[in-house]
Amino acid sequence: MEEPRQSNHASTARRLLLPVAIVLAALIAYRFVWRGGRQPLVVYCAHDSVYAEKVLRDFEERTGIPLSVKFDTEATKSLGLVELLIREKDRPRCDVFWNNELLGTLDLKEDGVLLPYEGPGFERIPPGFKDPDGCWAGFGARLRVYIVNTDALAPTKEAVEKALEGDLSRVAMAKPLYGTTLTHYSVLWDLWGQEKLEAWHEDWRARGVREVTGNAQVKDLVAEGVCDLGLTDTDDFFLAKDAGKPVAAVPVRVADGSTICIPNTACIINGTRRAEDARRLVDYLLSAECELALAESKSRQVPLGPVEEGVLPEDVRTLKEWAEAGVSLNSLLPARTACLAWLKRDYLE
Amino acid sequence: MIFTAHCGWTLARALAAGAACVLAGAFVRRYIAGYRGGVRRVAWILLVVPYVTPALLVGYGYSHFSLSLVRHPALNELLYGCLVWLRLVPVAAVVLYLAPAPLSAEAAHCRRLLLERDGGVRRRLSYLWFLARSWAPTWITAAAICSLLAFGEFEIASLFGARTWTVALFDAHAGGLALVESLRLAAVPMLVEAAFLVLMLVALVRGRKWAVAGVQPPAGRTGAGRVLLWAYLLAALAAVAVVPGAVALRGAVQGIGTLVRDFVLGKDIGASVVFAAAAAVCAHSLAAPIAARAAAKGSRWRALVPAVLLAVPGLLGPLVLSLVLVFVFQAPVARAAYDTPIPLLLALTLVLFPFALVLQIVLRVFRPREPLHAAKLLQSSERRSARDWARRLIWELQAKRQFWVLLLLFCWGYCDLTASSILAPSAMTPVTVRLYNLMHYGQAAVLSAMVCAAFLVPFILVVVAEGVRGSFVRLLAHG
Repeated sequence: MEEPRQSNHASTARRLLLPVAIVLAALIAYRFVWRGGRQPLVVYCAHDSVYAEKVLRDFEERTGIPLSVKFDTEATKSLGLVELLIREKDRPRCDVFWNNELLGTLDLKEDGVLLPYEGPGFERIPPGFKDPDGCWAGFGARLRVYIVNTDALAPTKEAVEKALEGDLSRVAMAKPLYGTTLTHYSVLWDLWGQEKLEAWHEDWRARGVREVTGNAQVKDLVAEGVCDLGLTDTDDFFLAKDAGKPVAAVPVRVADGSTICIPNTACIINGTRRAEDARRLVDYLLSAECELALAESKSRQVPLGPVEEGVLPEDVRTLKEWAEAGVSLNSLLPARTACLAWLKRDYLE
Repeated sequence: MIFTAHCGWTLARALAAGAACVLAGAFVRRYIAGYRGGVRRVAWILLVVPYVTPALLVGYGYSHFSLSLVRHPALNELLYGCLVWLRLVPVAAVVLYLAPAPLSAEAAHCRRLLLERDGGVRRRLSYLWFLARSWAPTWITAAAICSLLAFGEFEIASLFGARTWTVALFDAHAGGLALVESLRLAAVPMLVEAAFLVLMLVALVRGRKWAVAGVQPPAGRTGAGRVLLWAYLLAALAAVAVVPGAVALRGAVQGIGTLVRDFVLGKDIGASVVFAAAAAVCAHSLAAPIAARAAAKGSRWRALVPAVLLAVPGLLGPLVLSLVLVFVFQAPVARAAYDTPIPLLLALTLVLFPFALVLQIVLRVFRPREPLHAAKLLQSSERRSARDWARRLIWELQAKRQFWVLLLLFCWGYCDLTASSILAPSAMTPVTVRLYNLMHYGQAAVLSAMVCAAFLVPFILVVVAEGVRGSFVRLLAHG
């Protein structure tokens, strides 16, 4: 009787050794096969992967520097990666952060997550769109717009204002906790103060505004005629326009007529072990070539540095005029912090 | 307060789904049991397909339609609830099918005869009470499992914008809520899940006590019932598998050219395959000996302890499990393994373990003991051809089933989204994470092509593996 029992124990032990062997094999494969001979540069990217991926692959092909890219979800756009970078501050995994907005980047600077670098890319960006200490620089901007379904509404400022007066059940916006809608709210917080913004927010909710997960869904709702009007970004608007949907864009203007122009930002993470490669990527992102590529892409992003105007698509030239009236975002960090704390209480707790 | 409200809403939906799944599952099981041979096999396959259809595909297929219901949230909720229900009815049917019958048809008949002397309404009520009390443990077990799965559902809810605690917690965590705070929020749903687990265990123990060995529950054979069965099976198949599949395929036809020219999914699919294969083998290797010990004759309750301990983390759902693992791997003692494949591999193994365990128990219950014993005896034959045939027989009777269990576990691991989103190392992101991120931009031709490509991979791998297995067996048989 003893022998079969021992044989059973041996068989069980053999079976249980298999998972251990698999874990070891996975670790070895990860270290030597998956990550390859050269350590990849880790990039956290909050910009839409459909646009960012091409730019990043061009960089890989040109320089031979392998990239490992972590994208954000549309639902938690940019905020997820900003908070992750703060969480990982003591042991950073990321080398370069391509944020799709500015305020989260300001937060990172405040937390000491960013490493200053003033290379040739930084030099070509105007002072209004870069950090005086060299921790970040903006490039390829987009604007907040009302996307209007032209079958239901005239694409004019007056028609939009009238549509926003009464019932808002045919108006859509993304949850303001994340991405550029958070920037939009932070601008309003700065201009109006907490009380007025909260009252306005409650009023919109009471009048039935449709809150969805992201700007892309706002675009879909308006493009399909489910809603007449929505708050979104220019890159999402152009997707609907290119798909032949009956849509038009009207820029969002705050009290003094300023628009909300939101640049992408590029920065290097403090503690990177691949500083040289990180600098090359940041210079590439801030180059005229990259800005032109983003302007010519489906997202039609507005170059912030000097580029040859003649080669810009017509849509981008219009956006550039709107962008010149953009409200300055550089001092909005306190407003963003306070606004985000309120929104987290309102939505999450 | 908002999160608690989300939990309450999800719980109400899960309880309703659990009850509805048991009712439908009992009906389906009863009428499928009325068939024999090939027809029964087809019915089981049609029944199970909605459950094995990737939730991400279902969510993607309906995301556009769901968005169009933004002004009718009640309809959106109804659509989401129906899809969850249709996906979980197979689970209830399988549990009810596998559970030993608490009551034979003869016993029920005797009870009816005994009640003959009572009046009409009272007799009927007594008889119904008797049936309900007898079947209650089995039904409660099935309802608790279905409710547990409905309570933890994430993928479809996220793409539908449905009100669930899983979406609220995932978005809050991904949006930057501190880990400790996320875990604090997760405490309430964890308690609910624990309650479901306790209910399930209690019902199982009571059901086991009452079970009647060798008795099959009654089978349905009426014409109307059979029409209803096939109508249900085809409707569920169409709603959960065919419609989303057709939506993805229609887009894929337009987008496949672009995808082929610029195939960006290779590395992500590779990561998914590696993780799913490793986790499937780990879960299988752990489940097989544990199931054998737990199911052995005369086994004591202590033999069940490792099974329960390893199954509970997975049964709490991938979201809670992943948050706990992030906490563990961000602690100083385990931080070295944080950005490696270990956390995700561990999470997937634990998520797959309960399924692996159930499948192992099912295999042991339905093991053809005598033919297998005969085949093993034949292996010691002096004739080489007899030994080869014995090996082939053993493969057919035993190893082939294990092979399919492994493939099924692989497919489930491949389709995981939640654990992958939270735990994947930065250089090795599974394909479902990329698809999920892109799906929030709405339906698009290239994305549909990506979805088809990603979900065809496990299918192709299964076909290839089956082909290789067939050749291997033929080789064995013919020397």
